[in-house]
Order: sequence, then structure tokens, then C-alpha cells
Amino acid sequence: MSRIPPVPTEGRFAVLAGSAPEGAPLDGWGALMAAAQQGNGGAYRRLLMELNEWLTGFYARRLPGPAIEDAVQDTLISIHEKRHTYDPQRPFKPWAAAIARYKWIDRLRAMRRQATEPLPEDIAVDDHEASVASAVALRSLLQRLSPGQEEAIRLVKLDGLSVREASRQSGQSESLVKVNIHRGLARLARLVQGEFDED
Amino acid sequence: MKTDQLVDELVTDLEPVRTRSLAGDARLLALLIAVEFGLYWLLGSGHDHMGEAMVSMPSFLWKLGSLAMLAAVSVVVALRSLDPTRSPHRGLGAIAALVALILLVGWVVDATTLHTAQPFWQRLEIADGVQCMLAIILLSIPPIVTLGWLMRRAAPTDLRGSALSIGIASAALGSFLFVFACPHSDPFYVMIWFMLSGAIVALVGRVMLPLINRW
Repeated sequence: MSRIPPVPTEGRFAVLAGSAPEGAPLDGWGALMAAAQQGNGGAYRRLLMELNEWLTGFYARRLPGPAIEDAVQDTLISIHEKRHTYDPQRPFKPWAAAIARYKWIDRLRAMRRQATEPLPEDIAVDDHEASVASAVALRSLLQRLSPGQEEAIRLVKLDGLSVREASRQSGQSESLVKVNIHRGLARLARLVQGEFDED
Repeated sequence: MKTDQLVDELVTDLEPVRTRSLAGDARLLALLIAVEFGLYWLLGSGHDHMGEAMVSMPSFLWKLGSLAMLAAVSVVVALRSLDPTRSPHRGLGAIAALVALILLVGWVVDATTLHTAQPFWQRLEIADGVQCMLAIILLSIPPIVTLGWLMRRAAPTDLRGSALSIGIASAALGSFLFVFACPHSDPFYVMIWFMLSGAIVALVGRVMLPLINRW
């Protein structure tokens, strides 16, 4: 799971690995990321796939089962967006682990915020059953998304903001807002489909 | 979406990037401070008797040296904290110790060189002090915007710590620039008004930057 691949010995990776100053801690993943920073898609794909395995193990020890895949995906997106902050002269794994830990803490905070609270029984209500039921169902579905997905969908699809406005308001980059909407809607569709199947 | 699909999207989205470096960030900030200092000086905000003040007033040298040191240390702490693997906590501790040392030296300079019988409230020069405070806050805006932008571009993993260190660094840079225009060198005046301005800028940084730099 957490093995560090050997430094590639062929092609462009080997050049990159070989170009590091003597004694520089350029490990296998570091060499792959250095190649990715130059735009090498093959190296990047290999790195992300190996990171996927490593991150799954990392979060499996720290998060409940349903949250693991989301956490892995969030972290991969963050690594993608922050890849320019990796210094190829330094070891890769502490850099990736710091980002994984940051996203883990972020997720724990979000889970704490989403803790349910019992409603008082004496709330006065008119008969808005259908709209209330829809709102509750929607809220319940949105809560099952990651905080980033939930926020992106709420801002763009429910509040009607543009991607740029949503990006500014949420602090997510525009590309992350788009990815979160895409992934969130796909997940919502699966959730709704699952509930239909159960019915 | 399956993770494999996400990986496909990320690989498709891949473009070459220029890696961030602490030296590059420091150069950008130094350039900004040089430009800000030049503009501020050209606008006629310089101290009229700078040479005389530097030679004859130990309290001026204390003010200049202290703020230069505080600015240098806090900028290094702030920029280093933008690395995901580094925590600003030790750096913030060092800044706190440096501020305590600066205040102690200021008190010694005050006690040994200024033999004034004026009460403290008169030494505060409230009208001038408020102007100084506003000027320092205004001079801190370019550094806090620049450092905030660098924070957004980087990957800090302790948002609050980084935000606080950026607030302190911006306040220290603004105060350092204002040293060359400030007509007062009374250590008591400097300690109160410069500290107050710095606290406001640091607080704004600490509160605002984590909100706009979540990632």
C-alpha cells in the first residue's frame, strides 16, 4: 500500500531523476511528480493511481467507510491543484501526507458541523407537507455529499450563482467548483436511484 | 464518479507548472516593499531630519532596528508557513519573544535617555498617534494583499497560524516603512501606537485570510 516506487530508469523520468543534485532526496513519487510538473501525463497517471492506493489506506484508518472514497478524491484534487507547491528537491511523501492530514482534519470538522440535532416538538406549522418533504429530502441528500460538493451545488444550482461567483464565495477554484458539481450531481443521481430501487 | 474517472480527468487537465519557491516569494515581496517605499518617499512623506535623527536619537535607532528585525523575522515565518509541511507555531513563538525583547529594550532606552517629566497621557500625543496608526494600517495593506495572494497560491495546512503570521508580517512591514515618516521617537509613544496598529492589522489578517484562503 504505502510502498514508494523505485526511481524510474527510463525515458524522461530518468533524466529528471538524474538531474537532481547529488544527495537530494528525490524519491520515486518525487520523480513522478517532478515529471508531472513538466506536463508528463503518463508519470502523473501512475503517481495518482499509486497515491489512490496509499490514500485509501491512510483514510481507512481514520474515517468511516462511506467517507473514504470522497476523502481520497478530495485529496487527489487538492494535490492536483497544489502540485506547483511541491519542491522536487525535497521528499514527496511528507508533502503528500501533510495535504492528506489537512483534508482529513477538514473533513472531521465538516462531519462535526453536520451532526444532527433533535427538533422541538412544539414547532407551529401550516400544511406545507409537500414542499417541506421536498426540502427535507433535498437537504438530506445534500448532506450525504462532501462539504465541497454540497457547497458548490447549493451555490450554483440552488442559489443561481455563476461558477466564478461560487468560486469567490466558497474559496474553491473554478475548476474545483465544476468538478464538485459534476461529481456531486452524479452522486445525487446514484443516491436517488438507490432509494427508488429500495422502494 | 469513480476515482479512476477522476484520475482520467485530472490527467487530462494536466499542464506544466512553475514550482513555488520561498526565494521567489521573498523576491516578489521585497520588490513590492521597495516600490511602496519609493512611492511613499516620492510623495513627500519622508522624515525632514532623517540624518540628524539617526545620529542623535538612540530611541530612533531602537525604533528603526526593532521594526527592521521584526519585519524580517515575521516575513520569514509567514513565507515558511505557506509550505504544507511546516507549522508556524515555533516561528510565532520566536516573534512573541522578539516583541517582548523589543519592548524591554524600548523601556530601557526610555528610562535612560529621555528624562522627561511629562505624564504618560501627554506623551501619547493622541491626535498624532491616531494619524500614525491610520498611516501604518494603510501602509500594511499592500503587504497583506500580496502575502494573502501568496497564501492563496500556496498550500498552507495551518490556515489560522499562517494568517496570523501574515498579519504580523504585514503590520511589521507597514510600521517599518512608516518609521521614515514618523515625527515621534518617544519609546512610549512608539510602543503604544505602533503596537495598536500592528494588533489591528494582525487581527484583520487572522480573521479574514482563513475565510478567503480555504482550499
